Amino acid sequence: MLGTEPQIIASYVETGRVKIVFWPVLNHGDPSIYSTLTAECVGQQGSDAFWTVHELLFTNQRDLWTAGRNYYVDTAVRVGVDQATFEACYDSPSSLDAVLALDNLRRQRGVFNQPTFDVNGQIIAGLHSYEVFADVFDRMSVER
Amino acid sequence: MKRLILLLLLGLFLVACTTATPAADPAPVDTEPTPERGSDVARVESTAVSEPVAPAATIAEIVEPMAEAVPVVVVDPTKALATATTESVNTAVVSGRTADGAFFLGAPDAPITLIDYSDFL
Repeated sequence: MLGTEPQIIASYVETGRVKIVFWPVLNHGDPSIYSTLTAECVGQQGSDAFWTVHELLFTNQRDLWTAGRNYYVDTAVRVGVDQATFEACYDSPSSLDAVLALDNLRRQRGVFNQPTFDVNGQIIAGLHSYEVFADVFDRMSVER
Repeated sequence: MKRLILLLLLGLFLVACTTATPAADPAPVDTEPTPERGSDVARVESTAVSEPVAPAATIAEIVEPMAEAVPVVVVDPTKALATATTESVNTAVVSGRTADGAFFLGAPDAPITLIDYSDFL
C-alpha cells in the first residue's frame, strides 16, 4: 500500500473524500506480530504518530524479518514518542491482546490474504496502481 | 589664337563643373521609416529573404504581449464529473481509532472508507 498511499492521501484523504483504515494482518509470525505491536504502542501515544511509524515500518520492511525489541524501541524513539511509555506498552500483554484481537476480527470477516482492500464493501485483492483505486473512488463518488 | 585660348578656358570650366560635388546635397542619413504594423511586417518578410533576422526580435516586434497569462488545464471528463458530484471538500485531515481499535486517517464522516488489510512485511 505504501507506494500508492501518498497519492491517495493527497488526492482523496486530504480532500475529505476517503478515510483510510489500517487493519493488521499477521500472516508472518513474530515479525508480523511485533512490528504491528510497535505500531500499536506508538499509536497509543498519538494517532498521528501511528501514521508516521506506519510509513517508517513499511519503508524499512526488509529489516523487520530479523528485528528484535531494541530495533522497535529505536524505531519508536525515532518517531518521537516517549521511550519508557512505549516499552511499558510493548511489554504489556494487554497491548498484544489488542493486536491479536484485530487479527482475529479480519479472519471472521473472511480476509486471509494481504494486502486486501475493502472500499465501502467492494473488495480489491492484491497490490494495484493508484489509478485502479482512483477509478473505484471516482465511480463511487458519481454513484452517490 | 584668342579663340583657341577661349576654347581651352571654356573646356576647363566645363570639366570643373562636371566633377565638383554639389554642396547643396544633404548628407546621407541612415533612417528607417516610423514603423507601422503593416509596413513592419512587410519589412520583416522582405529582409527574411535576403538576410537572417533574429526570430525572437521578430516575434517581439510582431506579436503583442498577452495582457494576462491564461493557464491551460487538461481535464479528464470522467474525473471532472466525479469531482463535481463530490460533496463538500474537507481539508482537515484527522486521525484516530475506529470503534474496533484500528487506526484511521481522514475525515471521520468521509463518504468512502478504504480498509487496508495489510502486514508491515
